[in-house]
Amino acid sequence: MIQIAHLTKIYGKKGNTSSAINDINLELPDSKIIAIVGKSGSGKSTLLHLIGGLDRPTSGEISILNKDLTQLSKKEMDHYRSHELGFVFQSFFVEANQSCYQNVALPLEINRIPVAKRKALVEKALDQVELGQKTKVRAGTLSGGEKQRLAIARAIVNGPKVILADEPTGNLDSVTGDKVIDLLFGLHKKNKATLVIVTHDQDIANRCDIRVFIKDGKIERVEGLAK
Amino acid sequence: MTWRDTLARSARTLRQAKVRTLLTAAALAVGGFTLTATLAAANGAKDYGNKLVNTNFDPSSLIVTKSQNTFGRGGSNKPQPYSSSYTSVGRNSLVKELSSSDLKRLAKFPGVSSVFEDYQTSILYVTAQNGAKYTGSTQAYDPNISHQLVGGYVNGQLKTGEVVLPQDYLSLLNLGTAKSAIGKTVTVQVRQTLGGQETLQFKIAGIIAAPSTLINPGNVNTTLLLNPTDAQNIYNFVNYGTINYDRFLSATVRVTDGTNQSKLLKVQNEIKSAGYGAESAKDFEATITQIVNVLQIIILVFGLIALIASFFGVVNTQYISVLERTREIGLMKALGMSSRVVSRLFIIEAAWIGVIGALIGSLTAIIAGLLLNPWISQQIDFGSNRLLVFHPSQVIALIIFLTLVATIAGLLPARKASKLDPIEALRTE
Repeated sequence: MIQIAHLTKIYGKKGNTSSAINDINLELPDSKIIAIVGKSGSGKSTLLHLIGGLDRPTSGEISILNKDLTQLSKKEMDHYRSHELGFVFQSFFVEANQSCYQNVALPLEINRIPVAKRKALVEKALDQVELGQKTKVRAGTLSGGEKQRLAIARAIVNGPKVILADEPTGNLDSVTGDKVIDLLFGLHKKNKATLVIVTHDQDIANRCDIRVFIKDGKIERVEGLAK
Repeated sequence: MTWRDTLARSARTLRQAKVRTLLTAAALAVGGFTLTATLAAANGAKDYGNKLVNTNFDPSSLIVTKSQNTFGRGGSNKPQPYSSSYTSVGRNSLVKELSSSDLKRLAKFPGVSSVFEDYQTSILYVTAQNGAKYTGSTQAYDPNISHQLVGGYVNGQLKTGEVVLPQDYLSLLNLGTAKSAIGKTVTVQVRQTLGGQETLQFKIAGIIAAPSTLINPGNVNTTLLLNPTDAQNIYNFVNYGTINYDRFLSATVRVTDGTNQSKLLKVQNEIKSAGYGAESAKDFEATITQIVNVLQIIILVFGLIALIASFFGVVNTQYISVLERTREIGLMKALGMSSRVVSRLFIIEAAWIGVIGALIGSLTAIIAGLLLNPWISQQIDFGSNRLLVFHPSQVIALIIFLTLVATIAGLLPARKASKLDPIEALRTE
């Protein structure tokens, strides 16, 4: 469960501050597909970064998988990100000069998974995103859709409990984007990891179990949550 | 991330930027080359110096002069109050010289077994049955110095009337081979400074070749070695009535059990306290080593300057690498890589550059040394000795040192990488 209470994030210093997240309260169940929807600058990416432990809130509490993120040390936060989360970014962030295998193996290296176990895990993840035939191909030579699939393989290889996707179709054409979303949803069905998608695309949002609409750093409304 | 993965990932990153890696390593290689070659040259020079001392000096004896100023500082080039022991040496230079009474006094010092003077004297010419006349000099045979005899055999001291002849005279005087010349007679013509001449005959007891480690091999090539009494007689005859008569620049003082350094030092101090100058083979060796060390330091400074330049080269390269790979660093951090591991990745990359540079520099120096050694030896008349002597332990230590330098150079960029905010880093286009 994701529990957020009075969460506030203010950027800048005295006299020149801007509030990205403003006193948000939210409770989201596990194993659901959740869309965080809003326009550019609404604060949706900031909320995702706070859930992902990439940033610290100015005030308030945020608890995921029974972990109070505001209380975690830097080391514990690194461990949380590497063991519990999978990230998918709008710009893919694949390492162009490395092979598909090496890209997907990165989280396993970070988690000190023995080399002997790595191969099977990487190949399984690549098979799941239909890139099983491209293990040795340099990531830089892949198409945009393939790069995002590669990024998804990297996100799931650790078997995370939560996958955070920040505008995963933002850099793709609509057909490729749909395929990527289908892939993410299909994987969710299999592994039941909580999938949090930040998007401004209403069609994608409509396919999600829960939709959190954000405007000016505040929750405008939440759809799909059982009362 | 394990050390193994960190090493592999760093190596992979460097392979992907081959040209940049090699160029940065090349700067380190220049320093590595200079330092390796300098150390090797110093090794060679020191080895040569040791051989030089061992070949020219008896380790159990002292070279004694009248004054302590004679060693190192040479003579005075200003007018001096008259003293019976002053002798003119060269142009405008005066040195105090030993007399036969000094030699007798030195022989009485406790621990001194004998006093030896070589009586070096220029002769008019040396000739044999073929009638050809050649210039040369005579000198007392010193059985305590290892002579390289190529013909004949000398057991202890030469007998009066015997000579050990330099090899070069064999063909000039038509004396045959080094073996067949033994027992033949040569005639030595000497001329007194005041005008008189004397003809002396000597039987060949040995033929000598000058080893390349002699301080003045040319001198040995033209010096006839005689029994000390013969050498002294010639010396006294030639210098009779001149300022050089009964004057000796130096004498060799043998010390009983002088290979024992403490005994040698004790006698040396006693002789010195009596106002004489006294130097042992160790002192000469130390002087040579000191000269080599000074030269070595000068060249090492150049190597270190190259190293400092390459240090900043590594800093610059790694700094640019951090800037270029900001998004990659952001990604690694987002995926949970700790700042410490990010830092370690960049430090190890710098260390790899150090290893590559050190290996290129050291191996190039070794290969160049092996190829050029014979030519260098020929150019500086080193004989079979080698100027560049590589000690594996030194080369390994140098590679470790250069790796350490590159590692230190990588610390600052690594720190920058570790401090990057993942969100900011991922935003970078």
